[in-house]
Amino acid sequence: MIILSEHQVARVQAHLARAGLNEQLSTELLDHLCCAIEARMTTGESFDQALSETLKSWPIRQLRDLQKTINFTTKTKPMLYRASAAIALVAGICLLSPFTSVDHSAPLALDHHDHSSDYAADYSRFDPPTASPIAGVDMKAALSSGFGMRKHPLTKRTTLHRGIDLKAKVGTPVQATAPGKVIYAGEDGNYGITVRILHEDGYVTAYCHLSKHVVERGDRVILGQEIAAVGTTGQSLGPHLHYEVLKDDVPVNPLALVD
Amino acid sequence: MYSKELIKGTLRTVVLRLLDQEGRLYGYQMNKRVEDLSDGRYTLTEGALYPLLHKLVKDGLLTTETEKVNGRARRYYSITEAGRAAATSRREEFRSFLLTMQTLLDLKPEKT
Ligand SMILES: [Zn+2]
Repeated sequence: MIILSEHQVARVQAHLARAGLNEQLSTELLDHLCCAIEARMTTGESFDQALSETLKSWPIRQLRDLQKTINFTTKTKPMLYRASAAIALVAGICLLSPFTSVDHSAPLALDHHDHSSDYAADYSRFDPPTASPIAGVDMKAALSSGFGMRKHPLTKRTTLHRGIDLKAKVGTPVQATAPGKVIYAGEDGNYGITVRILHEDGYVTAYCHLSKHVVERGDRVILGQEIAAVGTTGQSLGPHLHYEVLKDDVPVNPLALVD
Repeated sequence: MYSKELIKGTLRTVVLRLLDQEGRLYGYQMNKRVEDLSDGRYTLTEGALYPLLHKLVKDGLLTTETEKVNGRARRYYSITEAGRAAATSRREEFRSFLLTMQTLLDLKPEKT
């Protein structure tokens, strides 16, 4: 069995240090990466080979995202107990399909409000929106401008970019990234034609610079439902989708919510 | 490999069951164990595993302790009584979920 030397461990640690993780997570991931490297070396790879292969799947940005996800998931307060995404999906199938008339006593628990049991407490809450607003397009692959402080391309002032920009052609369908209720659909100043959807657990998603919207205020939408089309209305330099996720009115990085 | 959605919806059930059976494991070990058991078809990405583990600790379903192994600190996870109860009910729920899916999708056992 191969065990990394102190010097080799230090090289792995140097990589992690660049991500600026908290000590506990950094220690835990160090062990994880070292184990993965040792496993590769057992199959005959050299340390350098194993190191670079292992770190390939752990870019700095992903490490930071991981820490954000952990901070996020361990801080949210228990609010609405809900069936997990998979079960909700089946519920959707039940309600929408001709199966509706079949046995409603099927063991599909949808409304678990039994707070007394561990079971209910263990139930998944509303999952933050993680789907891509453009069907079949990976947000990271289509990203043209990320979340955070940046120099605005038009005003040249450094401001918080409250969402992410995704490259797309005018007319590309835009979909709801989680089920919810449309709270705004129409012209909204710099944002151009905008759709805002309210979800459970205090989440709101916003889709901006659209060419048109195909849902109206008050509509209920499901995950993946077409709600609008990409455009370049409002303060925009060219066709793209500006996509925001807000939690309790605070903008969060949509990419940090994705696994 | 199964889709991210399917894994996401079942990860908690799998991790709780694993710890219920094995008692005490560290992150990398869980990865390996699940990969071996599933012939590589069910992969716990670290990006999903660690947030879940930390959440389960926060919810009181797991506890942790750190030990020095091979000169490195290793964080072990163990299941609590509440965790065991959750593991059992999740597993039972999944069993009936499978039966429901079988009906909904009209899945017949494959004859070979
Ligand atoms: Zn933007």
